[in-house]
Amino acid sequence: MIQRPITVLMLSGLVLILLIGVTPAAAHGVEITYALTPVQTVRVEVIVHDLAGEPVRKADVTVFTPEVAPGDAPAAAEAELSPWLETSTDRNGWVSFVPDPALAGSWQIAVAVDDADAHITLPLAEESGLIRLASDQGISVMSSGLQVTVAATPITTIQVALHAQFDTGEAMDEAQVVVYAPDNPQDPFLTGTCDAEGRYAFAVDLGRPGVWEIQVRKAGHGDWLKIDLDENAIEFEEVPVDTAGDADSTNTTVQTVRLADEVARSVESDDGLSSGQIVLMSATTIWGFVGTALYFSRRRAATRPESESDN
Amino acid sequence: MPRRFVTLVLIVLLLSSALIALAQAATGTLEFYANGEDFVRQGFVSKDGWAISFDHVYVNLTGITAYQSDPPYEPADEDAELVFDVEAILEGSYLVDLAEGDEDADPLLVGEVDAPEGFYNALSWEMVPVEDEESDMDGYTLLIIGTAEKDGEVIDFTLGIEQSYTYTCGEYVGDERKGILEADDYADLEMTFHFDHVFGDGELPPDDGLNETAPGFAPFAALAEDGVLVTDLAALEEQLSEDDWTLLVDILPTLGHVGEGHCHATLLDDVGETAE
Repeated sequence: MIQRPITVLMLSGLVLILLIGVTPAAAHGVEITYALTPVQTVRVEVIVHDLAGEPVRKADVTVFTPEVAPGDAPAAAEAELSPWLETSTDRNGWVSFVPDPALAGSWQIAVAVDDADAHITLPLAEESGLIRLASDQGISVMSSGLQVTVAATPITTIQVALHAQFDTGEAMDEAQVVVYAPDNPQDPFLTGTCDAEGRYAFAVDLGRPGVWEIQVRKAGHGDWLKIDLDENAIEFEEVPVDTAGDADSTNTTVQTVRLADEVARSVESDDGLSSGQIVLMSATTIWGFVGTALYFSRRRAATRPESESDN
Repeated sequence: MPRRFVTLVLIVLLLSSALIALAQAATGTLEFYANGEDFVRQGFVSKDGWAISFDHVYVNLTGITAYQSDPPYEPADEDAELVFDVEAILEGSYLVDLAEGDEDADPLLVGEVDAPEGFYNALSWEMVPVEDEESDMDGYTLLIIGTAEKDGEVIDFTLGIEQSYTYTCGEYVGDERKGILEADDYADLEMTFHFDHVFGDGELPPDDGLNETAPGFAPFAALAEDGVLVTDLAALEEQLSEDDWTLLVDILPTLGHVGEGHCHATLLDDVGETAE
């Protein structure tokens, strides 16, 4: 029986698909396994202004998981603890990220530019398996020289949980992780660090479909993991949800695919124009110009006698 | 009117030529670098405690080619084929000294080519013997000249490698992303050589995977006479123990990398045919 259509609509999109891919191992190689899980989470938006209200671009934004105690972001930064995310604001003083939905608790955000900095505690609470901002209101912090506003918007997305290890079976603890979104292969979507077991999780932005590219490396060894969220046989399945919104019944489908078969083939490649295309395009263009020239020539020839007779 | 028509047609042809030139100008410059890493530039301590410094590490490179592979080439997959839409070839052979410059030297620019824009996510090259009877490199693909020191014992060594290899690699793995070439711009790719694979790394535990598969320097030191060792693969096959020889020939194909990314190595025989 359905009483809350919106909730049901959202939860019906909350399907559970488990995809496991494995990169083949090389000599002295790296093996990366991953799981994809659709989840309900939030998109966190951070907006940084100076005290005059002007957006601050290229402010360093460092995010720590709840493993860093509330208020300890400055200490964590000084102690060079591995942040979950390092990024910077755009020209509008804006940056966004999707926190790991598995890590409810108080996330720490450190913002720094020149001599000014600010630190924000972001309380993300878990309720019925969903993560949300504990406060209904956004968070606004004013510090020496900066005004930082943080808001969290509920979204449905896919969590990528990867596990990196050497082919000896040793975990790639503290391995560096760099994630590139499909529409920007040059600038990292986020960077982070694996935990002591070589695990790292992040949520993709479903508004940026295509091949997500993830580089994992440590101690001179590394590899790429490429996940195509368009063609990767991700099948969203409707999940029956009762009126109480009990999400326990979401354990529906488990699917396994090989990375080489399902993922690697879909990286975008800019081939440019082939010679045939260039010839065809050129011929078409030339014919267009010639045709235009002929048209105006005929038209001028046809109108000239009238002009002459006028004189 | 005919003259005016001819003028118009000429203008049209001029504009068309300009358009064609613009269409063909979607190229940039692709630079190829070789890098022996800090291990070669600064020296390092082998897994068995020998402090090694390098005077010269000559490597003879040819067939250097970048690819826009699709699907992205995955060298770790034994069944993977290199399928590409566009390739950019650096013609010629290049004898490079990876130890050139001081300890903070940048990777060495081997050469550059004009290439269509796009993402060059695969790279291959060959290491082949120099054919020059007047050169110390004659017959060698790789010549390592340096000094090793341990507990007051100093050994000047010269190791020659005659074996040819083809390295076929995927995308560069490292601090920055390489190979994305935009029109009228520059991009670079790097052939990286990991010499810690041969000698091991004293900063890593003995049971680290790298050290377990590295011969180290001790087997070579044992062959030195009066503090001097000049040898090559042909001699080492006779001189080394069976275990050390196996370690050496197994590890040499893993020298070539793209940053920290691994490559697929193929051994070539003297006439350039695939041997394995």
